[in-house]
Amino acid sequence: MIDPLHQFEIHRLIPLSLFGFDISFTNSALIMLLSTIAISAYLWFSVNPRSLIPSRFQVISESLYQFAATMVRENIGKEGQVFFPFVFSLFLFVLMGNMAGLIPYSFTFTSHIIVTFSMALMVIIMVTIVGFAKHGFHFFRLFFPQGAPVYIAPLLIPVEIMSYLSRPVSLSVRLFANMMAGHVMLKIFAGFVVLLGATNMMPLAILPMSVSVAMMAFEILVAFLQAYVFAILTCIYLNDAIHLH
Amino acid sequence: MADENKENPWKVAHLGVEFTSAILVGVALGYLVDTWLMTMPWFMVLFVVLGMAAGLLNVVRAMNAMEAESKTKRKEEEGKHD
Repeated sequence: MIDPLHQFEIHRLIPLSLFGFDISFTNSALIMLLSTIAISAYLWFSVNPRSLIPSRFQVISESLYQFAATMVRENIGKEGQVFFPFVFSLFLFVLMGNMAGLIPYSFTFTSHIIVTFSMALMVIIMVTIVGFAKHGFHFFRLFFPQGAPVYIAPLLIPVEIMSYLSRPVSLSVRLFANMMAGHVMLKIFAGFVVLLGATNMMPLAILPMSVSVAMMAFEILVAFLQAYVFAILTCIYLNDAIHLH
Repeated sequence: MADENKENPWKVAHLGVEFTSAILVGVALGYLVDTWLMTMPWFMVLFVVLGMAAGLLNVVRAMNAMEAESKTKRKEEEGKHD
């Protein structure tokens, strides 16, 4: 009855298949679609009046924009302005996914490693393409810094390549692990409330209940922080590719 | 923050992932090379060790970035007091 992992189950809402691949519309896809619509609609309608004295909603939209814009400017610099739409939408998508998962009966799509890993893979492929487009074969300098003695190349190059390949892994695992661990903890403490409430020690149920409330606040912090970390690491990787050191 | 000299503890929380992910990449690469060349454990052993080196490199880089950031922050704060 009280299964903390039940929340991560994927259900097919509309079964579909294409060339033998299962591309069913699942509950995960539904929340992704809903959060994308929610972000777009919110930004559109809150900024639409374009009033000089902004409404509360417009202030939120503008400060989100400002937040991402300063992040891009500080981490990449002037050349990074091109990537602002990418970083901004990635940030909002992850943030909305994390936040939407905190609504009861919802689903956290960022708690599935395949979702976060495909996002991280997208980032790293883009970074690689940008690096090659900008520097051509000089991009390989990233794997062998200038001034390093040649005889350590056989050791240094594999290590640097693995360090580069570990970026998408650490990017995706960080987000996935934080979201999954947090949601399992929430469900476990909420389960304690039900279990204790069914016994004759019912007043004791207030203890896990208060932990649950505190956890909820903490989870909101983690949801924001992880979206921020995902976006800022994207910026740092882009910066590495644009300005080779 | 109440104490300005205290660093934000959340900043170091991701260093563990930084280290383990490189080892995971090492295991994956070693497994792929081994299944390709039919030399089962040997490349995996080699790549796990290299992965640990890469993980350490990741951690050192992250620490360096953090230190540079906190240094510029401290300088800015000192500039404000003058």
